[in-house]
Amino acid sequence: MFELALRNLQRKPFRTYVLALAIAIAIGAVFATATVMWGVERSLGLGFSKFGADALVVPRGALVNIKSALLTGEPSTFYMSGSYAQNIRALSGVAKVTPQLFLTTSAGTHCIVGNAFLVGFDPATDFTIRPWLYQKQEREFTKDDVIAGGNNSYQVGDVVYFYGETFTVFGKLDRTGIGLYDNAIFLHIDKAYDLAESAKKYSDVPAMGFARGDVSALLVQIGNEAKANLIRFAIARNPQVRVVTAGNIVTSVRQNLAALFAGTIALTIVLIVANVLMISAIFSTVVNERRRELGLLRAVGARRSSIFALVICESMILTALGGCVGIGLGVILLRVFARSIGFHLETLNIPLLWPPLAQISLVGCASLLFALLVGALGAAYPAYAAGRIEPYDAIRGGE
Amino acid sequence: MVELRGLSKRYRIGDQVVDAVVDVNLSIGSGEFVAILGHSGSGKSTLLSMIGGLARPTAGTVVIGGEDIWRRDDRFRALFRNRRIGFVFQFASLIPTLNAVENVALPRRFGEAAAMARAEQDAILLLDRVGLSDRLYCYPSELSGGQQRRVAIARALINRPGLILADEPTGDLDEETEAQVMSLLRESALEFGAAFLLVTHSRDLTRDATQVVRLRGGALQ
Repeated sequence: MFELALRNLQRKPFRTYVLALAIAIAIGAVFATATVMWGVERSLGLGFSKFGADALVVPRGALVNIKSALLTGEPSTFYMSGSYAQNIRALSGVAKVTPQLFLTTSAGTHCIVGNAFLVGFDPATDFTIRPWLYQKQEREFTKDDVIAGGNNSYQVGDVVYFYGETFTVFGKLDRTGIGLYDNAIFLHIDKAYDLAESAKKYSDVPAMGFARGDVSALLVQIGNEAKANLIRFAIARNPQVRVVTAGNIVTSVRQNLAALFAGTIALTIVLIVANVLMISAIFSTVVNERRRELGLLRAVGARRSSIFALVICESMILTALGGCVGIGLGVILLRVFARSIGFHLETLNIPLLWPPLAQISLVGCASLLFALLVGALGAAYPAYAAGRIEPYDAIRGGE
Repeated sequence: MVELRGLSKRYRIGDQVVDAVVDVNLSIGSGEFVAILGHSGSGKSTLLSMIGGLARPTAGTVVIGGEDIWRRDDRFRALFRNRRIGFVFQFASLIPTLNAVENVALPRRFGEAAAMARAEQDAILLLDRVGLSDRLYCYPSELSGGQQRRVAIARALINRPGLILADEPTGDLDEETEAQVMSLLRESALEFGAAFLLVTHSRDLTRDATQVVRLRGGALQ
């Protein structure tokens, strides 16, 4: 059956190639759109979900700064009392609370690099940074270590110095899509307090503006059974703080991209529907052209189901060919996407995280299956009609 | 071998009712050569198609080898046509994308897998038998009308059918080729012990028939 279908397709090569190209364009669009959407979702969704915190508690008035810090990784400093952590931890339903302290390096010779974002964290309670470690030394993290965000050029084992103190790069984070995590350098929070003390000896370094025990943000993880809204409300009763959720942060970015994606998806759906209709129309013509041959096949023993299968098989070979070419086209489209949407994301300092190769392959396979489905759907009615033709009518029809 | 009882076929074309075949009763024995003679439009091709399981009768029965083929389902009839009947039509009935060997082997594609394995070998033997051993891998467009008809005859014989149905098999051939094709069909039917039912408008082709029936206005005379 496959061979017969293949021979039929070879009979009119121009028609076959034009149809396959039309399918290729649609499938290329499906493949590229699905891959990019997956990548962007990964950049936004996975990044923030792996961020691990259900809520971020920051000083009142620091809301704009924290959004900027999270999205772009631009150094931003603001402080509040670390004692709020105790109050939040005491709330029923709160699973974890961990503090972070934001500070910047100074320009000049005191630090290996100026205006870098340093984040002090508490290794004992941290649940958001170390899950992102993808390279690290085979030992425990110490106060003389730092962890580099994914965008930093430092490698594991490098030695860096800040305000006269030297640190070893203990590990490096995977790229998260969160500007703060990708650009910052993380160190033990106690060491961050020590650095603030050390910085005082430099006359050209302004005071850091916080005291030992202060924090910039408290990251809160809410228990699965707890009512998140109630806990956020309870935290926000403290007039000195504001509660930020990951959803707040990504919404604006999502909104920017949503219109673009909606347009692309709509165009893709139109392309697919047009392809199904086109296949249906073409294969109705094909069945009419070959009425006598189909009648002959029935005369020599082909069943109705064999004729149905022959027409469907022919259509599916055609769309599979289109699908394979389409995936190739999709890869080219992805390169274009990478330059346009990727650039748009980069301006927000959000890296476009391509899905892993296995997942891209999965999208490719799904696109190919989709192409086969388009072929089957498009040819379904003509194939059914071909199977129902009375053999004698079909044979005589050509006379 | 073949028993036709009260076989009729009525068409409806718009408001008009056409009785293409009317109450045909006929018996054909194994190895017999029966010619159905009639003018164009007399219903002879329609009769042949009902016997071959290609067009459903309006009334009557077609019993072949003890099986009333129109009481069985389409799947059975497809298998029956494949195994028991060889068709030769009045036009060049080859698939243009298949070469001569593949055209002859075509019925095997719809049969058992084991038979398919021997299909090419059997097709080559049959093509040799019909005098086309030098045209085995030619496509229909590379064959003359007579050669195409020989390929169609070889295809009709590939499954060693018990019944060969030929519908004006020499309609578009010259006299010499016509004689060759008829001789080939008759000899093949004899060799396979098959009943041979020929539909024709030419009295000359019925010379060797064991039984000649005339059809006029759809009815036997």
